[in-house]
Amino acid sequence: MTEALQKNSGFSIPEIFDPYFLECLHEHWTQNHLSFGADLIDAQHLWITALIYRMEGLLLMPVGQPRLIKLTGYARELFGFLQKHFAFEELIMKAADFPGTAARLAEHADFLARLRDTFLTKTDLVADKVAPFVKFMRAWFMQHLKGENAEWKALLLKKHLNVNDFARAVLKDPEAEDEAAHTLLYRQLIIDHEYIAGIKREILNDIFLLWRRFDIRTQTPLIDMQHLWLIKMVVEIEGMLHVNFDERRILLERTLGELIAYVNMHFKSEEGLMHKLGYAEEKLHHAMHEDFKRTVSKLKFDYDSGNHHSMSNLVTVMRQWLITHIVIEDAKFARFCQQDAQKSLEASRLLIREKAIALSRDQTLLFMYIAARLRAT
Amino acid sequence: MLDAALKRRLYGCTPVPAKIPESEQRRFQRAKVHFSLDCSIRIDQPTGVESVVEDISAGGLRIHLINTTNAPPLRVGDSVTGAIESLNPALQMSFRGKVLWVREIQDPAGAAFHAGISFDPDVVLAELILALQPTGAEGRN
Repeated sequence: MTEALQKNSGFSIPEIFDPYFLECLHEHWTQNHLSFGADLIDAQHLWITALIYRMEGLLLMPVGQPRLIKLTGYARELFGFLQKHFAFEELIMKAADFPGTAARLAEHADFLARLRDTFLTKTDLVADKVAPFVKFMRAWFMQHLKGENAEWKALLLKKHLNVNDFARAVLKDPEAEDEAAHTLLYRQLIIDHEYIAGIKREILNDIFLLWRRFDIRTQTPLIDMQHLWLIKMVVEIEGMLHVNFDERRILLERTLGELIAYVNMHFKSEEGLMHKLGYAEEKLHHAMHEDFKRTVSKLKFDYDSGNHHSMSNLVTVMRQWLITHIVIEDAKFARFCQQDAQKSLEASRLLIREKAIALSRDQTLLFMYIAARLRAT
Repeated sequence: MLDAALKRRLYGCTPVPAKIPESEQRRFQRAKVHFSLDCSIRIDQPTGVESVVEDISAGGLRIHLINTTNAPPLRVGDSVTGAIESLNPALQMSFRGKVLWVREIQDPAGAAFHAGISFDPDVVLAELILALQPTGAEGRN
């Protein structure tokens, strides 16, 4: 197999960091109590679990070469990673005089050989053998996590060894380990509890619940992405109202400025699209936007003049106005767009290019997460 | 919270993309496809071409041609029409373009080819692909 194929096929790190996949993975990890209790080892186990879990997901693709290419890509990543992981575990076992090390080594070698033989050496990979093998891998690894590891964790504790320190001492390159993708995944998902880095899980959940409860979708991705981002900002700001006064003031002043700027940009996008599509109520809609901007400016002015209560008023007004406006007024425009959905979609995409409307990575991830979770529910 | 440098590593591309090396001729930042199971490519013209999409940028696609015999089903200069299909509406789009290059690769199952397709200038790009363009970024990055 050439280097080119090895590099290009199937597996991609961003795919593992897909936010909805991370939510499912987190649920799987916590509900099955898969944590070993030592960060270094858990980070590796989490990565292996993610790869196997992803491969299980790939089995839902129609049988054919695209599925095979992706599965093989993941199998290759899994094989390479498992080699390193088993070598690491074996070092720990030997260093701790773990009884039965030879038997464990044989099991590891056997598993790797089966993985290699199933995915990486055969040229006539039979589709109906792939699914059972992925299921076998999952069962084997769950056993590895819940059974075997519990034994040697108990042994290390019995010897009064701090598992994390001991594992770190065995590592050949701790710095590389700290920067590796599997460590980043562990940090984001298990330590920071974030499916999208930088957005707390609870915030994400609140956004989803609001989105579903009010059925806010307009079916125009640009507008939906912007609405989602606005709701995220409002939910975050609401959370800031509960922190202590001094901290709140600093946080709110910064974030409110960002929110107001984003609202203005969103209004321009919406009005631009209405104009392009010849929406009859464009002027009326524009007037509502202007009215809202005046209200916000007034409350902001009051706050800047020393009336600190106007800040919570401002947050309440923004939340209520935005949700009501999206649910009622933007929904009218969404229905108008649906009369010629293709034309509206193209117009919104051209607008992004013409007006250089920025869509950040986090915005797209948030949109993907909400869309995937809605589909799943 | 992960810092910006780590996030760039994770997500494979930056909202404000890094400078493209001068040695490379491409005009657009590209991103490894990370849209998961719900992204596939359908080629309508020429007919009978099956492929898996590997990279997408605002400039075009790199595809892995499958079920090929010994000869590639596309040649440099061919006009191509097709669609990116996805459950995600922000990724669905039709395209027209030209084959820029075709390369043979070794595959355990036999001959296989990669091809680079550049989109025609008037192709209307989907939001998630537009998000790869270096237009800056709103919100947290």
